Amino acid sequence: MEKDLIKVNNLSIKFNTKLGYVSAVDDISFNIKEKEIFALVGESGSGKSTTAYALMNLINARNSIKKGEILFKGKDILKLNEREMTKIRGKEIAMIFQNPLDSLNPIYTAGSQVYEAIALDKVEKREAWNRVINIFKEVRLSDPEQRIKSYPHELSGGMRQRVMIGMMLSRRPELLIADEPTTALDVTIQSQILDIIKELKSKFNTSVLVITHDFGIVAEIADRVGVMYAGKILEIGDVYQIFENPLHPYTQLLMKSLPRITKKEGRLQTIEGSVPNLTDDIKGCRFNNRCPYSLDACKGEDSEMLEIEKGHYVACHLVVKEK
Amino acid sequence: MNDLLEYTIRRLIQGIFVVIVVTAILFIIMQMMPGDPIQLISSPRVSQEKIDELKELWGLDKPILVQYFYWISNLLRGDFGRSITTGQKVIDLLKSRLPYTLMLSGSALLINYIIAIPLGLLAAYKKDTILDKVLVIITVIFRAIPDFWLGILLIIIFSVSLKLLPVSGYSGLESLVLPLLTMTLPYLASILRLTRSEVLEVIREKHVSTAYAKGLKMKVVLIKHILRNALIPVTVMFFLSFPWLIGGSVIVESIFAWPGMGRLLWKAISTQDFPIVQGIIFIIALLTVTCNTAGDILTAFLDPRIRAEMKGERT
Repeated sequence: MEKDLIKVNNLSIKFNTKLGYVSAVDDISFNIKEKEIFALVGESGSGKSTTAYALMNLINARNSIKKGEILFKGKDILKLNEREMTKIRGKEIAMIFQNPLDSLNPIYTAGSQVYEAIALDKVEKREAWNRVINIFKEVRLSDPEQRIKSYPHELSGGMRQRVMIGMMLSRRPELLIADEPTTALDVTIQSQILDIIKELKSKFNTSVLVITHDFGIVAEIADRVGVMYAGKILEIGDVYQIFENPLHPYTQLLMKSLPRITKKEGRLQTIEGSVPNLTDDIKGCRFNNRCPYSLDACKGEDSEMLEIEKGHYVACHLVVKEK
Repeated sequence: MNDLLEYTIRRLIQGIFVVIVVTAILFIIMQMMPGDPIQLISSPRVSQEKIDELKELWGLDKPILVQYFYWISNLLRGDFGRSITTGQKVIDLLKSRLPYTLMLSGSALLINYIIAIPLGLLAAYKKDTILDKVLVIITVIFRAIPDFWLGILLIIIFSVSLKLLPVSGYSGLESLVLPLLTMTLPYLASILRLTRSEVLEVIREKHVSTAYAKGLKMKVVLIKHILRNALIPVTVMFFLSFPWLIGGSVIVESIFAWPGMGRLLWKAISTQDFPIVQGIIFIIALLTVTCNTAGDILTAFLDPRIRAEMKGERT
């Protein structure tokens, strides 16, 4: 059994907006073990990106309220000040973003932006540039000596995401957060990027948190999965448990709405209704208005996370009742 | 860098055309204006022969195209002509006035940016706080005050009532204070707001998150990744506003009897002393073209995306 690298306990994040407080993340707990790939899956607006930004402590403190704790190697990240956090960012936890098209600064060359990260570790100049070239090779960019001199606008989306991955892994962090790393890319490029992440992850023993809405990506790279909906984690389990035995109705419906080549029927199944307005104070299960099996209990108290089989947790009254 | 050179040359050639067009339009306007400089300097008792003689002396009897051609060809030899009212060489007048205008407009422009950029940055960082709102409101109020009114108000307060500063003219550096204030206060708002909105835009960009995520200190992110990007349009604005400030100083120079080009221009227009008017407008046009080109080249130098566009434009 591997040790926990990061442990999130009862994390809640609320944003102060013009419409009142929006509870983007509500009392979630999960852990990421050393050397594993953990995926957070959910629709847009489910709070998965907010969770990722919270792990980097990159959420604007002025208009938000954070509760709970994020224990990284025993330290609570939410209690660190900006100076302490600067030491952790990039060095221990790094992050790549959804859209590689604007995640690099347009006015500096790709190489110099990676160099900037490496130079933070007081590496001598020539050695640092050698490392930049090595990193470009590691993320399989062709012609690295030329590419380091290219500006972001001269690179394709896939190339920019490779530069980002290289930049973020250049300081050998223990945790890499990948927020929708392939969403803006072509399908062929997607699998190449995922391969690179997988390969470098095992090479450097990095843990990875993948944020995605795509179960295909989950199946391809994740070891364990957390399913998020409207700021809550509804189900956590390893990837086989989730795919073969989804317990929460939401997970089941998500699985059914995946396009499958084996299925002959024409229409894709969808989930009726829409995500509840998070400014409302929601009582009970947040999925109950769309859930086909909704019980009276679902409108009252929120269900606790229960371990149904080893490592497989679910928060659902229906599952509790059936047990 | 070769692209940059080619671009510069292309822009300069365009600039020459702009100057020609501007001066030609100016020539036509001066021709269409009612009144006649000869009548202004002579009394009604002067005989028609004498007037014709003067017209011939100044070349005013020739068709407008010929006059324009003469003027341009003289200009190329550095001869701006002579003032009709005083007979002084225009080039000498300009030479004696230009330093004063540059002193006033140049320092106004510099002070404007030196004050407005940090304030704009501050307003952006403290967005939606009271400080931000106060800064924006105060500068906008100054923007709404017409400069001739502000100038007179300042004279009444600091020169007439408090007797701290000279009313007008130039008698040392203390004379600079009031005209400088008049030329700075109303224009703070635009630079402040430009800086503020550019910084806010860059802060929202993903690459700033990247900069934080790789572990850079806040100060480094602020200077290298936010300010460096946000100040590109501000730098361009600096160059674009330079010729405009010389034009804008016409009113301020007149209020404070500042011995600069602006007041010279104003007096020349009111006496229809067209060689002076043409000379000054020519210089303003030349400055405009030079500063625009310099601004464009500097942007290309600062922003690789613009350099790429330039390449695309050529092929």
